[in-house]
Amino acid sequence: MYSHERSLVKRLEGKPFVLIGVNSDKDRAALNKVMDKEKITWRSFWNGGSTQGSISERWDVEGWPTLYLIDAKGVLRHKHVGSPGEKALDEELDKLIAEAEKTAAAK
Amino acid sequence: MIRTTFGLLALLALLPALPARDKAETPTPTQQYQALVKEYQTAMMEFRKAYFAAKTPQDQQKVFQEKYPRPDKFAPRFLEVAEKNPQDPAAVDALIWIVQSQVDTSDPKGPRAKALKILFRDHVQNEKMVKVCYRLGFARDEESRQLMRAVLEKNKYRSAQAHACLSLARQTENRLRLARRFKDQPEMAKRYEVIRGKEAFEALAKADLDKLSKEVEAFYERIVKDFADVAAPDSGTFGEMAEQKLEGLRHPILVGKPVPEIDGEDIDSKKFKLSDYRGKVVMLDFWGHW
Repeated sequence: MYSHERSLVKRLEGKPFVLIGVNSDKDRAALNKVMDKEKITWRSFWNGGSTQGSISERWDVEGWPTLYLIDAKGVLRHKHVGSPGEKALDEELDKLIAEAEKTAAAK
Repeated sequence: MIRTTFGLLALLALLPALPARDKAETPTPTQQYQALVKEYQTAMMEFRKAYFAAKTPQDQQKVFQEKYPRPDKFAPRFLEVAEKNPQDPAAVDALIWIVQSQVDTSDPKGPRAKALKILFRDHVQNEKMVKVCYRLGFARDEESRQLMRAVLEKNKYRSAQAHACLSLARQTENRLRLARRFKDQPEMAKRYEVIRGKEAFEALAKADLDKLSKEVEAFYERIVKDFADVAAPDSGTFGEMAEQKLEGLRHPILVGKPVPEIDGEDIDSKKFKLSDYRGKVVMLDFWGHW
């Protein structure tokens, strides 16, 4: 279920990239068990234990999953309600990372 | 002879008094309601077991068709309990069950429509109305809107009022989202008209988007003004949630614009911020394991 996320984290290790979750599960203890089992190693914000929590309200999330791709300068570049597929995500992320590396190299 | 009689008397004294059984016991409305709930839950458990045991999609489909406990079969039985015992405390429970279930929402003569009518007539002030608010937040019918309005204005329990206000906000926002989609996707709009009819379609197609948008905001502003301290579902307060929502409505997060900060906690309750990762490409993934 989380195989693409795990592969992204692995593939992009050492690059200017980070996967951050915002989780809407009800129970923290149960969630910790899930994260161990599914090898979810990336960090997640706690959305207050519901799909009506403060973070998802601020970010106008109406469907799960929703993905926001934010560039290295903090600007939103893509929003997806539901995954657009591994290929599309990989392409979008690779472009943004190349951009970030170029900017860093120019400094 | 005397000893035997004494023994008999002693025996009789030890026997427990037997209750008079002059008629068959009929279950109370509460017992009837609970029996129905148990029947439904048992059927659901058996369905789930059989579904997970099924090996192929065809088998799964067969299990679904044969074993899934249909809400439209149960709803009339719950309705009967409510209609036959309108003054009994079990009535509101039975009606709430119907509204919470997946029974068809589009039939104006069906058990759900009848349940909404009775709730509107008899139970607007009941604290238990809080239980239908989340589900009715997804509803599109006028009766659901009227019921939530009535709870907001007449119920004395602030928790029920707050939940009803949120329900109205979400109903209105759903209409706004649908009306916006009509403009972006005329194909989808056409399909909607075919399925739901001309009247329902025109109500949305001709909607004033600005007015709807202001209505949504007004509900959240009301929550901040009147129900800020009421405990929100699961955690935090209605005020906190509504303020974040208003911020999201007034300063939407758009492609090409800088994103706002997130100042929060992780699953282990450690504080961290989105801005900690400035300089890196971030994939922010709103997820849940359900």
